[in-house]
Parts: sequence; C-alpha cells; structure tokens
Amino acid sequence: MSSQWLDRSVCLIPLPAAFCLGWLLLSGQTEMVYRPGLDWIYLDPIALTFMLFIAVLGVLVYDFSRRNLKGDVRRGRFLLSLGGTLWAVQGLATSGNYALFFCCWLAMGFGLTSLLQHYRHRPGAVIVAKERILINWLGDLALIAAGSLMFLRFHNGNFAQLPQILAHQPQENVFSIAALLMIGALTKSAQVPFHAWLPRTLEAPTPVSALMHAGIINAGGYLLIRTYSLVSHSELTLSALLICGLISTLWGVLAMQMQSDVKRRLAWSTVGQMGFMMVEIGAGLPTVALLHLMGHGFYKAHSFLSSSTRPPLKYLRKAPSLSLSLASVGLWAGLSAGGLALVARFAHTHLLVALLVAVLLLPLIYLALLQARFSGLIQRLMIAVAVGVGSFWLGLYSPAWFGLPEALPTGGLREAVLIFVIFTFLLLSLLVVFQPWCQSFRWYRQLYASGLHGFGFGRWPEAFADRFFPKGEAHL
Amino acid sequence: MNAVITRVLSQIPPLWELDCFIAVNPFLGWAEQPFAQAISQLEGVWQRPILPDRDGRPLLPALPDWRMDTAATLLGPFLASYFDQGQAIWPAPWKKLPLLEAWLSSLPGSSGLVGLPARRLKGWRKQLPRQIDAAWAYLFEKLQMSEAEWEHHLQSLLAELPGWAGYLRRRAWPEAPAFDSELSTLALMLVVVDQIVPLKTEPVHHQGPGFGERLSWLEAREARYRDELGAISRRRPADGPAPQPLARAAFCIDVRSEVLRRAWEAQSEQILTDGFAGFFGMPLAWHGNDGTQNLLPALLSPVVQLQSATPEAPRDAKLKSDMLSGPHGLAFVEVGGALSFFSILAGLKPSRKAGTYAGIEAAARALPREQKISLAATLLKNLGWQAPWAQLMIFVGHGSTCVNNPHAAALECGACGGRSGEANARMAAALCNDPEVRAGLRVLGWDLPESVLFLGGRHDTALDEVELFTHEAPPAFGSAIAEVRAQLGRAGERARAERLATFPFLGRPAARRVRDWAETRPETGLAGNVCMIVAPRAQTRGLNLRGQAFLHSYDAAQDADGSVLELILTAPVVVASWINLQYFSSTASPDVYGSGNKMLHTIVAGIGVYEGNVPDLKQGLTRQSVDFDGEPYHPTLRLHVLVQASQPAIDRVLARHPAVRALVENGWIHLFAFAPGGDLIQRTQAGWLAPM
Repeated sequence: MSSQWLDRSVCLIPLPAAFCLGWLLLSGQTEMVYRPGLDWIYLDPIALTFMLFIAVLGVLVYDFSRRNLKGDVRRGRFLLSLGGTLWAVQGLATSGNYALFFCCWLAMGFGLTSLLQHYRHRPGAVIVAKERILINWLGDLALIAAGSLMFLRFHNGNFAQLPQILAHQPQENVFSIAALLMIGALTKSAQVPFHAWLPRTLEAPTPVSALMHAGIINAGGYLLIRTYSLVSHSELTLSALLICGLISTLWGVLAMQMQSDVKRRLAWSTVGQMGFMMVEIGAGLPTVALLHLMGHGFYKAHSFLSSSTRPPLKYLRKAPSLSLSLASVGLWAGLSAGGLALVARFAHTHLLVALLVAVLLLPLIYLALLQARFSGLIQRLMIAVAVGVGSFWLGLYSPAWFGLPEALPTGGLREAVLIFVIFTFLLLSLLVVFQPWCQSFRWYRQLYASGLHGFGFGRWPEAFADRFFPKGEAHL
Repeated sequence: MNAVITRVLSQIPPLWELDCFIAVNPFLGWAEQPFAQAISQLEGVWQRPILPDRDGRPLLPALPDWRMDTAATLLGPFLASYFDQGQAIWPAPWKKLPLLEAWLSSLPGSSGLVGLPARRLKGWRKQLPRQIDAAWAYLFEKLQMSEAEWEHHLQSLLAELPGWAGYLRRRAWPEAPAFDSELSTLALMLVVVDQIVPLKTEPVHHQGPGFGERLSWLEAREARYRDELGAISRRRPADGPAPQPLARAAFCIDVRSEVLRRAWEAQSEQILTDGFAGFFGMPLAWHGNDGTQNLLPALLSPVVQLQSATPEAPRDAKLKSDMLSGPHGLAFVEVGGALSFFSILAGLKPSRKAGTYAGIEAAARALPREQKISLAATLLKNLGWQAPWAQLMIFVGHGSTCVNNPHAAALECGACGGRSGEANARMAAALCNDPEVRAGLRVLGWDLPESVLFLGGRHDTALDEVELFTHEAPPAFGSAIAEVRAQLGRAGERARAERLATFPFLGRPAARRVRDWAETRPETGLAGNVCMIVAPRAQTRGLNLRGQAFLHSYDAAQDADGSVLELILTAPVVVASWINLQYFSSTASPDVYGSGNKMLHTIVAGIGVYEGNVPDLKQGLTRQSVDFDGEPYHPTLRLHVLVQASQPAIDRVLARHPAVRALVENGWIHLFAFAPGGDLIQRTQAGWLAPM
C-alpha cells in the first residue's frame, strides 16, 4: 500500500512550482516576497526558472526511477530519499534569505548522501560518499563563515534587499564574503580541486547520476547567481572564479576525451561544463550561466538515462588528412573574423563574448568539414553557425529577460584574465583539431595515460575519510 | 612450464562482446573434473561460496566485501583504452603496439597516479624482455617457483581480473589459448604487477563453509525435481489417425518456445510443432549495412556468406555525439541542450529495424546448387521431416524486443550468435521453396509437392508474437496463412497470460514493458531452464512443462546409424548445458559469476559493462535477470537431459566424444534414457543406474 502511495507522490513534486508560477501570472508581478518577520520566500524570474527546471527534471527522473528500481529491495527508501532531495532543491530555489537557503543546502546534501549510498554493501559507494561528505563539510564551513560575516556586516541576509545594501558598501568589505561563497559553490559543483569524487559516483543507481549531474550539481552555480549582486561587487572574486572555472573546464574536457566508459565520460564532461558555467559567471554573464545550467541539465539527464544503449562506435571513420584540418582552421578564421567585424560594428561592448563563442566553434567547423557528403557538410556548418549566433544572442539579450545587470569587464584585471581564458580555450580547440597528429609524441602519451585516471590529483579527501568515519555506511 | 600456463589459461571461460553476448559455461575449463571437486576448488580460488543454500538462494559472505580490486584498478583503464572499439573520443596512442609494449609505454604517464612505485617499476621496464616467451622465461628464472605453485599463483591472479581475461580468451576463440597469446600476455602483466604491488593476500585454497551440506541440498532438490520427470517418460502418446496437418513448424529448442508451442497446438489438432537448434542448420554470416553478423552457434564457424542486396552508405548516427563532445560542446549544450527535454519525454524506441535482412531470400537462392541442396537435405534429415507434408511448413526463429538494455543480445537466440534467428529461418525456407532445390531433394528421397510452402517466421519472445515472412508466398496459400496467423494471435495471447502468471512480478503487459526505457526486465529470458527432452513431440504434446524445458525433436526410429543423435548430443545438448550452467552460476553465486546490478552498469569500450567503479568487465547474467526483490526466480538445478534412445546408442556417442562424456560422467548434466517400461535410467560415472 505504502509503495502505491510512493509511486503516485511523483505528481506532488511540481506542485509548489506550479503554485508560484500561477501566483506570479495572476498577480501580474515580476517579483514576490513572503515576509512574516524575515523574507522567507523570494520569487523572481531567476528563482522561478530554476524551480520550474528542477520540478520538471525531478518528475522525469522520479518517474524513471520508480520503474527502473522495480524489484530492488530498498526501493521504497530510495524513492523517499529522492523525493526528499527534490523538495530540498525546490526550497533552495525559493529561499528568501541566506539562513533558509543554507538549511535547504544542508538538507539537499543529506539527501544526496543517502542516494549515493543506496548500495551500502558496496565499499566503492561508501568511500565516495565519505569523500563527498568531507568536501561538503569544507563548503558548508565556508558558507557558514560567509553567512556570519554577512549578518555581522550587513545585519541582513535577505536576497531581495542585497542590491540596496551593497550599493553603500566598499569592495573590501565584500571580498571575503564573496570569496567564501565562491568556495562553497566550487565544492558543491565539483570543481577542481574538489572534483575527484564526482567521476567515482558510478556506484549509485543510474537515475541518481541523472539527477545529480543534471540538477544537484548546479546548486553551486545557483548560489552564485542568487547572490550575484554581492559576488559581482568584488572584481577579484570574479577573476578568481574565471581562473577556477578555466582549470575545471580544461580538466574535465581533456579527461572526458580519453574515457572509454560511458558514465565516466559523462561525469568528466559535467566537471568541464560546470567549469564553463563558472567562467560565464566570472565573465559577468550570470543569466547565460542560468540558461547553460538548464540546457546542460536536460542534456545530461537524457545522456545518463539512455546510457544503457550501446553507443555508435567511432573508429570506423578514417582519420582526416592534415590539409583538411588546416583548411578547417582557415575556414574558421575567416568566418570568425567576419563575425567579429560585424559585432565590432554594431555591439562592440560584446566583442569579448563574440570572441569566446568564436573560439569554441572551431572544432565544430572542423567536424563539419570531416563530413564526406556535401549535404552533411552544409547541415553541420549550419548547426555550427546556429550555435554561434545562438550563444551570442543569449549572451547579449538574456540579462534583460531576467532583470539582472550584466557586468562584462571593461578594463582592469578581470578583462586581462578573460582574454587569457579565451586564449587558453583557443589552444584547447586547436588541440582537438590537431589531436590525430599528436599520437606519436611522448608528451601526448603521457597526457593520455594520466588522463585515463583523471590526471590523478584530487583524491586527497580519501586520506582523511578513515580518520573521520568509522567503517561502514556514512551518515550526514 | 609452458603446459602449465596454457592449462591455466584454458580454464578461463570466454566472454563475448555485448552485441553477441551469448551464454557461456563459466566452468568450461573445469569439466574434466567431477562437479563437486571442481566447485570446491573454485570456491577456494574465488574465496567465495558458489553452491547455493538450502532453498537455492545465493549464500552471501557474512560481511560485505571490502577487497580493493587492485588488479582491476591498475590494469582495467589501460586495457579498456587498448581494446576500445571506438567509444573513447580520442583513440589511445598505443593501440597499434603489441599488448605488452603498449602497456609498458603507458606506464610512465599513469603509474604514479594508480599507485605503482616508479622506482621499482623502472627496473622492470628496463629488464623485462619484450618478446612474450622471453619474458616468461625471465620470470621463471627470477621467481623460482615449482609448477604446482605457478599453477595456483596464475589461477588466483587471473581470478583478480576475470572479465578482461575472458574477453582476451574470446578474441582468440575458438583456438585454445596459446603460449604467446594476448591472454598469456595479460597473465604475464598480472605477475609483474603482483611483484610490484601484491595483488592478493595469502592464497587460501579451501572451500566455503558447509560445502558438503550445500552439495547434498542441491542433490536433494534435484531428486525432488526428478520425481516430476517420471510423468514425461511414463506417458503414452495417444494413438489414432492423425488429421491432415495444416501447418508444421520448427521452433528453436529455447525454453521460451515451449510455452508458445503448447498454446498454438492447443488451438487445433492440425498443428504440429518440432524443436530444433534455432539456426536451422544454416551456418550463415550476414554482411549487412550495419556490419557483419555471424548467425550461428559459437562452437561453429560460418560456411555461407550472404551479402545484403541493397548496400546503403552507413548513416552518420554520430552527428549529435560529435557535436557534444569537446570544448565546442560547451556552447552547443547551452544553445541546444534544452531540446533534450523532449527527448526525455519521448524516451527511447526499440532499436529493431524492419529491413535488416531484406533480400536474404534472393541471396540464398543465388548460392551454388549443390550447396543449397546439401544444406536443405541435411536440415530435413536432422529434423526428420517427411511425408505427410503439411500445407505450410514453417521455420520459426526467435528474437526479442527491448530498449536501453546493454545485454539485449542475451535475450536473443543463442544458436544464432546472440542475434535474432529470423535470417536463418528465412534462408532455410527460401532454400526449401527453391524449385532447383526441390528437384534435387526429390532425387534424394524427399518428394515435396507443389501444394507445400515453406515459410520463415520470427517469434518475439518478449511480446510472444510471431511474425511470418510471407512477402514471397503465392496467393494460393492466402487462406491457410490467414488461418495460421489467427491461431498464432490467439496462442500469443495465451502465452502472454501464462508468462504473467508464472512471473507475476513482471506486472505490466509485455507491450508496455518492451517499449519502456526504464524497464530492467523486459522478459525473463531463459530463467527456469532445468531440463531438456530429446524425443518426438508426441511424447510431450499437451504436457505443461511450464517453460522450463528445452525440447529437441528426435525420432530414434528414423535414425538407424545414430548420426542425428550424435549431432544432438554434441551440439544442442552442450549449448543447453552452457545456458543452464550460466543461469545456475549467476543465480547461485552472483558475486563471482553474475554481471551484477543493471543499475550500476556502464558500457565500456563497446565491449562489455563495468559494474560501478571497478574497471573489470562483468560476465554472466545480471542480477535483474535472475532475481526480483531479493528472491531468485531461477531454480538452481543442473540440467536434466532426457533422451528417448537406446542406451547402447547413447554410449556409442559418448565413447566418441570425450568432452560430452566428461559433462555427463562428471555430473555437470544429468543424462537419462527412457527404459522400455517407461522408467528413466540415469547415466553416471559408474554406467547406467537401475531405473528409478
């Protein structure tokens, strides 16, 4: 009987999101604050977007799991944890003040711990959960410190009032808080050096991976977007975020190329994608990060849920010729020069964004040229151009939809860092194009061999796991 | 010393790739020893109980297993990159080198990361010869162990990495593993790694707790089951004038056919069915648009090569995955990722393509005349098909429908190399319909009138639907075909209802299950297989065998020289025993012989699956294929083979085939003959036992 009830409770998950959406639509407001004493609930377009995203994703994953885990001895407990975690994320999305946000943050962590240890008899599941808990503690400590500083300095932790308060604060006052928030976000989003647990969470059922990689891992990004008015007050923090995001992007994107098992490749891809999300926030495009987070979420959820289908194999295709690769770099250079000239003419403030997008498109154009048939070539080129125009357009116009000020750097440290980031991405793109000719180099072999193991570094929490936890299942 | 190594290597059961994941006897190399002795030794090698408890449930170790899987961690990622069939986005730079050299060249980059001390490794890299035999000689010299020690050492080391070892055995299959094979190289790598980082603690060679008790429980359950079998042999088939048959069909011996055959026969007296190896004697390799498929049992190699008539350029299905991998994926996901929402809503579709074997009939007819006639004649002889002919003679292969299932091939026809049997059935039918062939058959004694039509069919074992391939059928047979179709439709309904009653946990109708990408039990496969009956169908017709029996039709009266019996005992019986022992081992000892939990599988290198974080391939059946809610739904009994033939005839075959005799005498299967009085007599090591 109870399992019947559990099965049907899936329809409850989107209820709060639907309620909030209805409220906003009916009242015609763009913001809503529920405030008996404190600001308990703060709904603005950002919160609502994230909330709807989690609700939809949650229903899909919950519905999948309830059939996927049929015949599992601990299915009921699993569904309870899954539902509970989803409610915690819903709370996270709508929290109106920092204290409530932090409580939901903790609850979400507890839920995930339980989900990751669904197979508690498997040592691999338990050790990874312990590593994650340790990293989480670090993040929680950073967030507690940030919260305390916030209450001490501003006497206020309400998200709705942050912009007014910050208007009168000097940068130095804000830096420590922003940096602590950043550390909290990096731990939650599995960014280097807090990343190594993520590719090793394959000891959890597939739907947990889907939910974690698509939804929960985004909490770090959401934290920074939610407190963006504060974080963006500190140029130094944003620059640091750019660097951290860049390292994680490189790390994840490189490691994913070398994995020959599906789920681990997807996990490394998440590290890279989250890194890119941090780069976007650091660059001053929080709303683009929000869109990226949703697009990545749905894509990654689908990839994980369908990961039991045998993928098409790649080596059947013959290796491209060197001249083709050079031609694609030439074509790319021509196209992006034209695009950049256009942007410089009409919206020169967005030149850096356009440059970033253009750099990322290089491998896509290379792939287009690899296509033997003409129609395929045209199709792929169109996709490449559509992606380029689309991401630029998102970067340009999405802030207006969400009512957030964009803060692209104009000079100073952050601009220099951003240019460095773009330059590094260009190198990465060139490596992707010319990788077939690197096969015989020694450095490439070494890179590949260590990439197989995720470049090794990052399992430092394992050394502490035994000290903090007794043998057996870990709680908290 | 070389002999020791090849002996140990030949004990490794092969592990097939996912796209032809067929059942394998995991005790393949141990059949020369008696069952009890081999299993007790294996319990020592694996340090795990293998025989189940009193109720046939797995006996799990009392404590969860905290072993470190060191060998898999050290070698697994490298092996996956080396043997990758194209799953990694960047191919490994050492793919073209020989295995040993490739491994050594990968070490400088990775040794520190996986915990191999660089200094000790350096010495090994410098001194180890690159030739396999020289390297072994170097090791023999250096380690100074006796032959028996080497045997134990290698056995326990290979038990640390059973999946990859099995895959390397398969790569050389069916040849025995040679001294300089890849498998031998892997063993060598394990020995070297063990010298640097000890892979396992003191080898403890003893059986698990209560071994003798568990063995007697198994025997007691088998004795109880044997009592039920008496009903089959004591049965006297009804005599009387047989009505003119409307259709006579040959199904695969697969236990899943039994349910449908019974349901169909119940529709009409005019239906006759037979059981036969599901590839219908067509040793076929099909070169289609999606590559080559070997559609025959793993023990044979293809004789007939057929080419798809409509070669089309392979469609580039990788557009999406290309676009999403690499740095450009970052921008791509941002713009297009949200579209995946619709993909999640839609789920996945079953991947079976309708036109996979289009044109196989024409291709079969284009074979040389003699080959066609000999294939058809052998088939008819082994089937024992003669006049009176039915209007429709049907070969029904079988396949399965499911989605999002890496082990889909395990549900298809094992006799067709883990693929659908429809191609073989259609080819057999096309040959028997060919006028040229019929003329040849007439000379050989099979007079097939114009009024007889052969048809190919495909039994979908998940849906219990039979698809008849009638696109070449003359219109005159329209009404007969329509009637057979109607009967099959009703039979399918009955079979579906029966399966849901046998396995109530399946819960939902088959049509919904097979299209659900979250479903882990689209069907129950061959679960429940415990006996094989080699006898005319009349002996078992109308008897409810509950989908537990392999049925092979055999009429000793038509087989004076015993050649058909020889074929049956050496091929289908061996295959059935492989299947039975795979189910036995995966149910009784899922830790050692099972594929593990589907929830934790990740497809690797286009070859197999890992379970969770452990980078070793998994062999055997998944937990979901034999267990629901912690209750196994396969009875762990050894295969009981009932043969309706004389004891001397059986003995003659056993004398000529020591491998089959080993299976029987060492107790890996139980072989029974029908005594004249209707009793069953068992063949054991001591000869034929008195009737039970």
